[in-house]
Formats: sequence, structure tokens, C-alpha cells
Amino acid sequence: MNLNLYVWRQKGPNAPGKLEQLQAKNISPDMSFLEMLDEVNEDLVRNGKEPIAFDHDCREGICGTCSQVINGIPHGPQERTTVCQLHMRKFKDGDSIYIEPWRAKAFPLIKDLIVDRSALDRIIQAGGYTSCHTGGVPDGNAILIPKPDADTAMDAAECIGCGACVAACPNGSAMLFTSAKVSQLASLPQGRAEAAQRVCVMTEAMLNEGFGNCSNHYECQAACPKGIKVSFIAKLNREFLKAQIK
Amino acid sequence: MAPASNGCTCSCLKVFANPVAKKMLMAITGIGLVAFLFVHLIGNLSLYAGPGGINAYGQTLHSLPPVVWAFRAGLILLLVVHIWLGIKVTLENQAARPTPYAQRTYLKVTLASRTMIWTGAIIGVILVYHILHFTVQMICPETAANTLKDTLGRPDVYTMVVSSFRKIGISLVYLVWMGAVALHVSHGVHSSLQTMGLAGEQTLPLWTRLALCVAAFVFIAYTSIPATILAGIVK
Ligand code: HEM
Ligand code: FES
Repeated sequence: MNLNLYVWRQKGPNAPGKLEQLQAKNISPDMSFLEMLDEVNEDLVRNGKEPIAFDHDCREGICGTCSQVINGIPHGPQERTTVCQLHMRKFKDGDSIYIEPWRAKAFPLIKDLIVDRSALDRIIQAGGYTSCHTGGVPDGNAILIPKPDADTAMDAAECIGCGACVAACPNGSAMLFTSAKVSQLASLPQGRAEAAQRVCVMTEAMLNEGFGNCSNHYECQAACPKGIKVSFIAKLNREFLKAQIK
Repeated sequence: MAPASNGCTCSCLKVFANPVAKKMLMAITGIGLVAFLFVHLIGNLSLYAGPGGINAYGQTLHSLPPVVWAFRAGLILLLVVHIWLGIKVTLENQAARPTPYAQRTYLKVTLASRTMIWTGAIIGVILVYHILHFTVQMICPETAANTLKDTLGRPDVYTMVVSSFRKIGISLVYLVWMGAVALHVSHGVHSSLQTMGLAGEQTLPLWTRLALCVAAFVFIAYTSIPATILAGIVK
């Protein structure tokens, strides 16, 4: 198949950027979206041109590194699928495809489609952990955890930190990301002890990094490749209220 | 773990900078305003009891200035906090996405959720008109209830309302107003429940429907007054 690409090209953080029209020729429908870009890059290199810079790592949908807004949807049109797991059979021969980077003030652009997402790391550093002493490996079932709580924590822990929620949110808010970590840790006895403090410092870090506020548009849940639910945002809000009356 | 630097639990003022606290204040004030819509509606519907109904209501209300002023003070407080935070939150949200997407496909946003600041602005502007119309009574001075009395010597609210809404232009202004209120509330009701943490996977779809019902009810109940007056049912 042949495709008509419009790709965001920008040499550096402060350089001007624009959408560049590129052709992807002889693409197999069995290729992943990233393999299609690899082909386009081979072509660009053969012609002495600068290849498209894009982020990727595991290419199996678990690391959260790939990050492209495809036709206006973070990770593209297929539900619960990262860019690396999106296949070209989702598109038709002759399609036009717009490829843009995550757009948010908190995610400064580095080059082309690559943005700096360390703002998310700093939210985690603010409180997305438990301050426990390290030492010997604790006994497996020494702390009993009710199954529903364990399930909630596991669902929240599915977040791979890709930032699609921020990219999808009209307000560039990181509430879904933050709420997943807050909910995961608050659901477990090990994390419960610091739950009140955690929700405060993490939401504060969100503000300091320049993320927007949550308007409950719910675009984040629709874009999340791991199906993180906005019910975790409600849980974060409950945790915040509890922290105020503690 | 590092203590909360702005101190969620210590500094009262700084907590209002927190993104969640801001939204909770918007939600509480918003729900307060929705509650007021229902209280206000009871008064409006006394119009259907004829001049006796609404004129008596008006007179009773104004024989209790402390009650009237307590209500006004409460409302002003709710509106000031809600509008101030509404503008602040909107500006912050716009600043968080300085470069727009060239191509954007929305999956979940609604007309209502995307236009909260604009429907809010319409509500605010027409609210001023409404106060000039029925409180200050300078839009239709010839039928101002402050000067016009009914047979029992009470301010003739009934005639003021009915003669105003016979003017199609005035009715249209109120129709636009209630349209904006309905849109605003159709997002606001479920949004505020989510913001207060009162939603879950099962309940959120219910709240979304509840919000639509509240919006439809408020719209129909309020606009029924100009509609029945224009149709000649209420004379
Ligand atoms: C001049 C008047 C008003 C302005 C400027 C205004 C503005 C706003 C804005 C911008 C939001 C969205 C905040 C966000 O991004 O999430 C909002 C939410 C809301 N508004 Fe208003 N509004 C006004 C009047 C009203 C009135 C009269 C009511 C009630 C009838 C109301 C009820 C609500 C509710 C319930 C919310 C939801 C709060 C939440 O999402 O947590 N607003 N308002
Ligand atoms: S490259 Fe790891 S999730 Fe796509």
C-alpha cells in the first residue's frame, strides 16, 4: 500500500516546526506503524535526507515509549493499542495520515516527534512510592490483601506512563496518570500509610510541572492504550478529600 | 516521603492553588448554584397560580429583608468564587497546551464540556440583564412592580412578568439564557459528582444521564413561563 504522510518536523526545541508531506511507498499491511516509519526513514537516508526522529523501545506495547498522535488521536485509531502495536491493515491504500508529537507545555519538544516526558517522572518522584526500609525479601503472604483491593491496584498499575492521557486531554492534564499511581498505592496496605501526603504532593507536582486541570472530558480514558479508567480520577479526588479532613 | 511543600493540610490559602482543590470549590459552588435554580423555580412557578400566587409570594419574600439579603449574599459568594475559579482554571488549561494539534479527533468531549467558559459567560451577562429587568426594574419601567400595585396594594409582579414576556425580544433573551444554563448544567452536574469523588464505574454513566435530565427539566420548567405567556395561555 502507498500512503500520504504529514509528519511534524522540527530540528530542535526552539527551531520552527512544520508538517512535512512524505510518501510511504510499498508498505505491507502486516507492518506495524513504526516499521512503516522505519521504511520511510530508510528512504529518507538513501536520499541523503534527515530521518524522522521518533521514540520507541520495546515495540511490544509494554514500555510506553512510543508516542505519536496519529490523525488526531494519541496512539492512533485502534482502541487500547500503542503505536508500536498498531498495524498498517488499520489503514487503507492511499490514506492521508497526520503524525504529530504529544502536545503539552509540560512536554517540551526535543526533535520531530520526540518530546521530553520527564515531568511524569517528577510527579512520581514527588510521592509515587512507599518509603519502606529495604532489607530481606518479605514473606509472600505476610500481609494479607483482599482480592478486590489487589485487583484495583493491579488495574491501576497497568499504566505504562506513556503520556497519551496528557496528549489527549484538551487541557493537557495529567490527572489520569497521577490517579493511577495514587489509586494503586492507596489500595494496598503498604501504600495506605502515606496515602494522604502522597495525593497532596503528587497533585501539587502536577501543577508545578505546568499540566492543566481536569475538566472531566474523559478523552484520557478513550486514548489510554492500557484502558486506565477515569474512576481512578474519582478515587484520587476521594483520597484528596480524605487528606483534608485527616 | 517529602512533606507537602504547599502543605495540603496546613496553609489554608495555598491549598486553593492545588488543581484538585480548585475543581472541588468549583463543583461545590456549582452544585450550590444548581440548588438555587430549583429554589428559584418554585417561586417562578407560583405565576401559574395567577396574580394572587406570585404577588403574594413577592410580598412575603420582601417582608423578610434578612432572608432576602442572606440569599443574595450567599449567591454573590457562590458566583464570585465560581466565576473567579472558572476563569482561572480555563486560563491555566489553555496555557497547558500552547501549540495546538494540526489534526485533532475527539472521542469523548461534548459540546457542553468544551464550551463551559462560554455558556458561563452568557449566563453571567444575561444574569446582569435579568437583575436590571426584574430586580432594579429598569428594562420595562412602565410595568415595574415597584410602582404598579395590584388591587390588594401589593407590587404587581404578575403584570410585570406577563407584559415583559409578551415582548418576543425579551422572551428570546431568556430562551438563550436558559439554553446556556441547560448546556452548562448538562456537563456540570456529572462533572461535579466526579470531581467530588462521588462517581465510580457503575455510577458515572448514571450521573451523565442524571445531568441530562436535570438540564432538560430546568430548561423546560423555566422556559415554560415565557412560552405559555407568548402562546396566550397565561394572560
Ligand atoms: C457567569 C457565570 C458562570 C461562569 C463564568 C461559569 C464557568 C464555569 C466553568 C469555566 C466551568 C468548568 C470548569 C472546568 O474546566 O472544569 C464551570 C463548571 C461548573 N459550573 Fe459554572 N459558570 C457560571 C455559572 C454557573 C451557574 C449559574 C451554575 C449552576 C446553575 C454553574 C454550575 C456549574 C457546575 C455544576 C460546574 C461543574 C464543576 C466541576 O466540573 O467540578 N455555573 N463553570
Ligand atoms: S515501543 Fe514500548 S510500548 Fe510502544
